[in-house]
Amino acid sequence: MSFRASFAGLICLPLLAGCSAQQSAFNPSGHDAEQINILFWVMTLGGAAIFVLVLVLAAIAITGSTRVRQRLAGEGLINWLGIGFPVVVLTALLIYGFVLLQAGAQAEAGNTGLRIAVSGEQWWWRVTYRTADGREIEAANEIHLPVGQPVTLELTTADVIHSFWAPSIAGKLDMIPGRTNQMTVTATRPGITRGQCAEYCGGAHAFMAFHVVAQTPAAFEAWLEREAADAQPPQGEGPRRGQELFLTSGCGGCHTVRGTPADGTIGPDLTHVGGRHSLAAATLPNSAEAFAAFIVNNQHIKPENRMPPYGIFSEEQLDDLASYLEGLR
Amino acid sequence: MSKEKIVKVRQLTRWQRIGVASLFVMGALVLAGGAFILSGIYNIGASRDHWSITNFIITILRDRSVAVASGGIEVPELDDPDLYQLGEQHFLGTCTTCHGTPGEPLNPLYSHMLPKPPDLTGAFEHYDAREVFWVVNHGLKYTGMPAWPAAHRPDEVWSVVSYLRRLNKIGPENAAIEDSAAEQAQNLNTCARCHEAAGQPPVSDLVPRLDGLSEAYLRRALEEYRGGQRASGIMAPIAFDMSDEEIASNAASYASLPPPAGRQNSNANIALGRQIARQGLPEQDVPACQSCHGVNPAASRLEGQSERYMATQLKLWQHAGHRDASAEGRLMSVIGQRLTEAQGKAVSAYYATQNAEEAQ
Repeated sequence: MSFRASFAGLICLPLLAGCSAQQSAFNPSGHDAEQINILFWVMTLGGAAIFVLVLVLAAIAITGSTRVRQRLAGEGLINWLGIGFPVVVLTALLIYGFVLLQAGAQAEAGNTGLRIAVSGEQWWWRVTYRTADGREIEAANEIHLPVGQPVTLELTTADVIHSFWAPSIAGKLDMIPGRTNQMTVTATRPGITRGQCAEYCGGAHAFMAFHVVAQTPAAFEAWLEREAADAQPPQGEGPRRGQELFLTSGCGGCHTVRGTPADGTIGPDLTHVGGRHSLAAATLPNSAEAFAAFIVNNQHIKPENRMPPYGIFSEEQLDDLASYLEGLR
Repeated sequence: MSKEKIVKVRQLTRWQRIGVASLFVMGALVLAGGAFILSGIYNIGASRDHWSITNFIITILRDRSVAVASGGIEVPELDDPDLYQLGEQHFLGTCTTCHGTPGEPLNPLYSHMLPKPPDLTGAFEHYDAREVFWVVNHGLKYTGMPAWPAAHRPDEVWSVVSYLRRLNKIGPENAAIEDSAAEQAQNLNTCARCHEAAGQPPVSDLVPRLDGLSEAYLRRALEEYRGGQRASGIMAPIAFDMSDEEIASNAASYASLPPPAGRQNSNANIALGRQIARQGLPEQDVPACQSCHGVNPAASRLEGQSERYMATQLKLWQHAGHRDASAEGRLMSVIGQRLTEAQGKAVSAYYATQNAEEAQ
């Protein structure tokens, strides 16, 4: 298989995932998404019933006997079905919609005090967990949620307008320059779902996705503790050489690996990158091969992304670097 | 009764007759020209000068072409020692082969070229700075004058233009040439002609200081000049003549020298430069220079380097395609394009004031 074909394969993986239930508003695993799902079905089924009723009446009006057609043409039917029925149904639907979506109200934040700041950047997501005790834990391209606890997302952007959309969890909300938009979400069952940027934001917009990992509160707490910790020192000869390369090749100018001198803030925090479910904002699977491919060929895999092409490494050096990064769990 | 035949004679108009006649004349000329070319009568030898009519026509053709093509070129400040001292060294090492050392007789080998390479002391008598620049940059067809052997390096071409103007202004007898020019010209491969060594600064601030640069970087630079990945009309002909062993030994000898000390500079925006060097400009996606430079021997050490040299290189990186043929060049080119020219100057000025030891 050619180099290019294997890349095409790598790139298609997340696209295929998009076709499954992983990123589907019909497969809700969040409170808001469930409401939206119910609203969708009520609207669709109700609309379908009215549509069928209209068709039946039209058919009767065309083919029915003279007596029936005279009754249809009467003023009573127009008053009841033409005015009374829409007024009642539409008013009821409107009130139902308002109540269901709690229009104008901010969903109540949970008592855990956890807030998650998500900043859209061309073309990835900077995710900062702000805990009640004032800690700020930075990660990227993945949002972990404790099941059953409402969590407030603070949505901002570092450059252009993005739109945060995790269809299985909640509706969309735009990220507008100069504003912080808030959205409170509650995951209702554990599982991994996918979301993506829903507002065209430039060249690699289609490759700006993320995973939502809903966990039981206990698992979430444990994960957050691990995420807050510094990076683990590299284990083994290859990863050790990889770390040396990472620190001397400029990677730390843009990326942070806590616990090492690498403290760049331009690109995603890589402290626990090996533990994430994808690379490059859900563009590639998380594997050593994908790390190596992205380091060298990132402009082909994710065109126009802000990382320079790193063609300076030998095959062995790339392997070392990839094994180091993969080991950052 | 026999039918009377009616014969119509069409009379050609005056202009039609002239047209037919000119077709005949043109045909005759083409035939005569073809016969002249194929007969071999024409003497192609350089031993015989052009006919005066040929000389007359090609001189006008050349001067009109140069004058029109060079219109709109912006001339930098030419009375600049950094420019003309570098230009002088390149001139003595390269141009004198054909044009001869100014003020001295031309090697008979080259004086028998047609046209004979002119003594360039007079270049500025016939042409202005724009035109001289254009000729040095693009060369001249049918004369043996080559184009500048590197694309996108007008900065180097101006050094030669600046030297030629100075040569014209003060005359060959006064235009520096401190050591014997002939001797210098023979030592073309001696890096020290321009770069100097052992604590002496280079002949010009446009020339990088090589003392104490890492061996890996020096070797890569020379290999890139030799292979054409790094464009320089000055370095390319020199590196072309170097063997792998010469590259290795030159790189090793410069790498073993102590690095130069930084120079005072009170004018520049040192604070901005320090910020770019140490923290980068995250809002412009510019990482700190020192995340590579200073920690990685493959990236050049910048402390104490010449400010003008660094600013020139950053300017090359600011244009896509000017310095991104190698993997390292592509990497740096992305960063260079994110810096404004003022920021490039500030960070160059900052590094020029630093001492290598301090930064360790």
